[in-house]
Amino acid sequence: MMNKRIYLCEDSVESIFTGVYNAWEDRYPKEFVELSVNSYESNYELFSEYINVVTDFDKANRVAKTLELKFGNEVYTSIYQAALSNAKDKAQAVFKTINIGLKSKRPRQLMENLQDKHICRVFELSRAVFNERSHLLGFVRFKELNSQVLCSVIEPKNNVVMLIAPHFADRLPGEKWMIYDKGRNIAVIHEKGEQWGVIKSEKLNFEMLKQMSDSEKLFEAWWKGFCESISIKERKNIKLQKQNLPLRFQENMVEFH
Amino acid sequence: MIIQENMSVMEKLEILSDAAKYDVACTSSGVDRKGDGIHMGNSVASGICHSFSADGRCISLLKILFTNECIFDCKYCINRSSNDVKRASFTPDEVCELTMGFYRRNYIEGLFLSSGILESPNFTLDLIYQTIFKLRTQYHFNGYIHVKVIPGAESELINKLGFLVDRMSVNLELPTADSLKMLAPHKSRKNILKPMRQIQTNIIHNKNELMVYKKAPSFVPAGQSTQMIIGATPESDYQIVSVAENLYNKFNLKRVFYSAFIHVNEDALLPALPGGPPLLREHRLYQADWLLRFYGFKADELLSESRPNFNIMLDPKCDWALRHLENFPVEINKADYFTLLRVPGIGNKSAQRIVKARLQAALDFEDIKRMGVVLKRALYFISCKGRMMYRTKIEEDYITRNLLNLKERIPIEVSQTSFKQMSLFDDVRFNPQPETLDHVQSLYGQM
Repeated sequence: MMNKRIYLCEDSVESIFTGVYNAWEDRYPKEFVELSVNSYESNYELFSEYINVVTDFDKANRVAKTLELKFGNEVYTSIYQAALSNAKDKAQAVFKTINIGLKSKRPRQLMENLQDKHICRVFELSRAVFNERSHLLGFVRFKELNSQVLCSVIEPKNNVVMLIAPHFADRLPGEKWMIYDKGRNIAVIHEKGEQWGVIKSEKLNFEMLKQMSDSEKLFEAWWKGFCESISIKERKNIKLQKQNLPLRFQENMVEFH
Repeated sequence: MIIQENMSVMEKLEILSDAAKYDVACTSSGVDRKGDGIHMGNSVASGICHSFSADGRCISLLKILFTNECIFDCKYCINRSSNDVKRASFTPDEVCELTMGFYRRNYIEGLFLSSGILESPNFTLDLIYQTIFKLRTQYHFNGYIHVKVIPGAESELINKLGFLVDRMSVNLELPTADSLKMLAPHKSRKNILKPMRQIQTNIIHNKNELMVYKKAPSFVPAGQSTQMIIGATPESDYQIVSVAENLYNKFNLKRVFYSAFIHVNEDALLPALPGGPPLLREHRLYQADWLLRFYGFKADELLSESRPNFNIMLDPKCDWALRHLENFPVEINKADYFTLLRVPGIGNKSAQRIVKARLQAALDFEDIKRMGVVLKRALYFISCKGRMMYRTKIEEDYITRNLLNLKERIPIEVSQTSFKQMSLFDDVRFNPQPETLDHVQSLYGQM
């Protein structure tokens, strides 16, 4: 009986892909290899060997390229999205799915094998991430600051800022805007007519983010008034409202303040 | 009628969104349009919900009337000319600024503009046209626009407007011509169907043109929809579903919306509805509508002259399956896609997943559960590898009782009012309380 070998990755796609690379490189029998995201692990198992993964962008890139080439864009997107999830078991599900895919005769149809529990897990995680992204495309609220910058605060469960940024870059090309993920301390910023980018939020000037423009209050008041009057009181159904718009989103939406 | 000058935007917005709230269509779907890289706006085919109001309905568009003044006197409408309500009108610039400001803050997906009839249908639609023209050409708004077409307006105007908007809709108002005559004396069925036909013809014509000239402007790219009021007039569900089916088949509509009648005016011709708006009925109609559009059902299969109304306790698909038990159980690993679609608890996504996954390996109950099949409903109608999940009887009363035992039998959309309503319907066939003996049996069956 061999000891289990556990690769501890950081909570990022790059780190998980680096872990995948290292596990291949070490050629340890795959059934005894596990990938884990270390920030979640508190209980260490006896008789298991733990290896810390140091994120290496070059290795991660090579894994990403291989996946895209062999599996096609659709499968790659599912795997990538699953890796952005907040689930504890995501690294292992991604690792196993990749291994199955590399042996598969139909790697481009990999995600159709939903009877496999690892693939199904990747499918579920990826769907959850995508759903949260889709929700936020609608639920993001921008406030106009004195400096004309549009600023939005979100607290998503999964790491989705990168997934929602392209939509807003396409929609608001002539605006300066930022979307700040409060929980992860990262922000996407966009300059007028330029590409968007991700920054660590230590670089943000939080005092400036509090100074709203004059018209901001007016629009907020109009919007609140609209949300109020558009509702039909004979059909009032708060339960349905909550089901469609969970409270965790409402916290950062101006019409609920 | 008092027309108030110098009203603030806030007041106008409150009056004119309040007046527009009975319009159902708040979807922003049907067209994928990338941004142009300079101006604000794009559009996503699936549509985006931006908020949900206290009634649980989605807010996607800034839904307003241009004016709530109206020369018509439709019995059911809050804005009818004989009502003494506060009247207001926007200016085109106010509509444009609200739309731009809201869109920029990501409050909305676009604009939904309807209107009461000012002076004449043509005059009103021209005002709408001026507003939309300004929004598109001066404010360069590239997001979603849905306009209501006012029946009776000139076809040339509808034509011009169609090239500026994404979706158009003409309200059918009521399911039959007779009802319309009774409750909306100024409107006629003929006048309503005419612009509907015109929009349909133009869309087809434009599609052909787009095939030849890719850069030709597109006419109503997200298609047209309509809505009708349910429960104000005595039509049966069968009549309503048949009307909807006809609209889909003969007018190529994208959507038909149903709006539970809300009692806003006192009028001898309107029903009293002490139990509130018929929300459960509306819900069943939407379920049936889905079956028509995505599940290959026909109106005649769901209802008939002798059975003209939906079962209150069961959704239309379960109801259909129970009346066609000879088709079940269906073998998950063999049945074709369309057969799977007809199984209660299997939707089109899970059916697609099953068809793909079973190419790799024979599927079991556990597998299809992971794929999204609702087993507690489906289990009476399917087998996996030749076996059913439990020893169940394939017998109408037995299955019905078990299905009714499921907690979710009253959908959340209507759960707050439905119990009151139920007594209003007299075709409840089943006693929702199972007898004790049967309950024990069903437990036994699940062991």
